Amino acid sequence: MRDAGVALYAISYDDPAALADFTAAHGIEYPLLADPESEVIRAFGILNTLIPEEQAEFHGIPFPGTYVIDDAGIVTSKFFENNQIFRPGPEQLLRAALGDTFEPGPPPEPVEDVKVRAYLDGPHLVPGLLRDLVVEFTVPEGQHLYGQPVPDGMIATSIEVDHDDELIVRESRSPETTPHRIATGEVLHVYEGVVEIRTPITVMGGHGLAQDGEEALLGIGDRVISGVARFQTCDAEACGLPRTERFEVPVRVEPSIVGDFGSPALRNEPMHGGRHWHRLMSRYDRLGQSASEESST
Amino acid sequence: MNQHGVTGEQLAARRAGQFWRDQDGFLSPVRPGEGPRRNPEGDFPTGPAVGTQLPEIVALDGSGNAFDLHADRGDRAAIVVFHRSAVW
Repeated sequence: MRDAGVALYAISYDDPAALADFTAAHGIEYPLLADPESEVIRAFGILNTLIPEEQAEFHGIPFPGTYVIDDAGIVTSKFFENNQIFRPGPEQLLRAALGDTFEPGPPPEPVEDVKVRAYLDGPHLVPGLLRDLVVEFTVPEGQHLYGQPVPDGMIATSIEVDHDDELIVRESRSPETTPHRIATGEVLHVYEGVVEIRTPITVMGGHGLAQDGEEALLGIGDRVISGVARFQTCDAEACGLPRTERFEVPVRVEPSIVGDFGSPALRNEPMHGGRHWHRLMSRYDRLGQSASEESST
Repeated sequence: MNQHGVTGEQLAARRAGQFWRDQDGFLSPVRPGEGPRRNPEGDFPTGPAVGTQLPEIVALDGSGNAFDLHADRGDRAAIVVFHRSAVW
């Protein structure tokens, strides 16, 4: 992100000392900002009001989410989820910050036939972290694929991920088409050259209870994301039949950091989590004090 | 004490009984992975709308000093993450 000139900040209700320890423990290179009175969180209107004030150690957290702003400070996109397990991956955020465009890069080697390549945009999957499954189509010169709206009798370019109980698949995003006028004057909406369809995916898993009731890491390890790409190619004179091509993308699922708690295998250098947790608990004292102030006025 | 006649200390003590303690003696407020998500159902407030100016953000840095986010970013695009906690 630094190379792209995009700044990154995080903010939470933690005390500055807790964030300083976390920064040191995990080698964080961007500012972790402290909002211990939840002033900024409240000013943004995103205080999690489902947590009562009486739960003093947790009251004050926001509905978690991320804003992407442009150089003028205007919000260009934001990411908030009903299920707080899900969050946008760094690749998705960087793409959003750079305008979510697709630059195909240098012209590929000429191909005789449509080439389909599928890969994960990211090093691995982490439970809850959304990353794009990318299906890239390289179209031979002189030919094109279709986007929406598709002419009668043709199929649009699409992908479908095989159903998997542990896989979360969001709606695919296709790029803008290129208008292509043909002899009859009709305008077709086509894809030429190299085109990507991006599908946000993640897995369920992480810390949980296995069947025997013991604590376990679930959903971690190697897996394969598979599915089909559907497309139809035409040139200036004729069209081929609709085609289906399968793809398989081997991915590794790694666990996320669970703060300073959890199994020793995951724990990073201690960030004095216990001490900071006790400081959060001391918010109960403020609760008691403010209530006694009320009763004495 | 609060309106229910319970002191902050008593409340904390009650909640202390709910700590999760692992084999190494580390304390956690909850079993890992079971943090208070309180997932909102349906629509919920998500703050400034797309297309609007992100409000001022003046918070504290790790040393407790005031940190003005927009001053720091200058004229760069930015990503601002509101997360729940680095502690739990």
